[in-house]
Amino acid sequence: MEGAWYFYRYRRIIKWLGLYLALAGPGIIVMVADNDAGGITTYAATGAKFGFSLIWFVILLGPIAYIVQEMTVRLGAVTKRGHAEAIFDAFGPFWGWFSLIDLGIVNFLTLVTEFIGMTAALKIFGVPPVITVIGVSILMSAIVMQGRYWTWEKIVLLFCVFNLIYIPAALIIHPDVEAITRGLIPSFPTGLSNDIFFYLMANIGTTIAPWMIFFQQSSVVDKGMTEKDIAFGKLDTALGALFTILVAAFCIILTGTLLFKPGGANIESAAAAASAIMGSNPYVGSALAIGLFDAGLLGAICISLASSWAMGEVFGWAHSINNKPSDAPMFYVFYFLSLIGAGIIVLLPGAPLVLITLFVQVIAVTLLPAALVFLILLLNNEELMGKYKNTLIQNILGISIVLMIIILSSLYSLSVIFPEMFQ
Amino acid sequence: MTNCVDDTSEKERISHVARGWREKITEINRKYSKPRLKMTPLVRASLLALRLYLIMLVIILIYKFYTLVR
Repeated sequence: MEGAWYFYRYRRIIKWLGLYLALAGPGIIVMVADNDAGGITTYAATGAKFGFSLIWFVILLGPIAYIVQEMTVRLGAVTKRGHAEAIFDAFGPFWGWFSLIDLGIVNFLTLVTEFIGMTAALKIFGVPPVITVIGVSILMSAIVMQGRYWTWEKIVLLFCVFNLIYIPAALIIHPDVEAITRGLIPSFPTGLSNDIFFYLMANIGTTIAPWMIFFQQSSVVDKGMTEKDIAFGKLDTALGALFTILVAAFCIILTGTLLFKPGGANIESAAAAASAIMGSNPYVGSALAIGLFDAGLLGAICISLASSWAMGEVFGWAHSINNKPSDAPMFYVFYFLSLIGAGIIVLLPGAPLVLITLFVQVIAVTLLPAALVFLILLLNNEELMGKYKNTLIQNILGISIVLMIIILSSLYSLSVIFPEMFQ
Repeated sequence: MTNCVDDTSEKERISHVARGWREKITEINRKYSKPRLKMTPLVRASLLALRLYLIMLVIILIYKFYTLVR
């Protein structure tokens, strides 16, 4: 009798796991891609500058990212609309066009920064930037053009696994576990100085980007998730948030172990950190470079799709990865144009790449508050969301987080515009 | 002669495409002209705050641009 009960339980768990694996995807992908080239650079710089002492802060960012992204799962599953279309529908053409045009600009510039990260990462192995740009463009085109959302998603999930490379890389250098444990306790080693405040803002800035909101909602719609799949969507997002903080924490552990010195070391980028480590520990340096390339690739895949989905939703073009290029020509044309455009800019001799990287932070802050406020307002509309609208606790958490993100990302943007402000 | 015909047809093609885009944008504006969300005081206040925030950002960017050029 007991054996039958266990068998029944076992079958239920297997069935549930099978169902989860079928529905897993958007949450994990968006969260892992959140650790894009810019994100990895921020974590690497944080570790080199402050050692392990800010690990607690990046761990806190996991739940914050989850609370925001979970709302996009509900909104997408209930309305069956992407975020761009939802904004047009709910707030009219003014806010619709503002969001769409701003998203297009921010995403394009961010795509350029992903290419910068990828070319810098492979340059460490002697690969010329032109080969990287061509190779990545062909790879990204092949992934979307096969005409099945399911296949696309599973390939991208495979790239997400590569992002975990920082975990074994950090473990093989035998970091100081006691010091890491101390880093889990909230504290500011040098007090709340301007320097540390700048790094906190930079970490917040990489946690929630406008493209993430648009990407996950469109992805949920393209996958065909409905109200009954929301629970799995939430689990998927929570697992993604767990992966993203694991990667961030281990990246900090890695550079905190190898590059940190009393007083803090300043590094310009993750690629510079990888080059610096390469001399003393080639395996770990290579892992950091491979991880940076993978992070840039994941970011580029998600960002270019977020733009194409948004354009397709608003202009009424066929806009599903389930469509073949002949069935959704404009969707794919837009996808390829943004890829080729970003690739060309990176290859242009004398292109202001540093300026573009800084400019992204400034432009992103024009869209992020609007996207977040629209998200909260939409999630509170009973007519639209029915029983899936935000509860009081969700609103308290959501609104507090949105306000905090708006204030800190705006301050970060101001510090980019006026560098002397936080010195 | 052939070149002249080619130029004219090319111009016509471009103006046809531009007209198509313009019509599409007008159609989108018409489709979404009436916002679905009820404009409660809270929604109005949020949208006003957003507008003010964006205006402030634009002023800061213009000031930065002005100081850079000067």
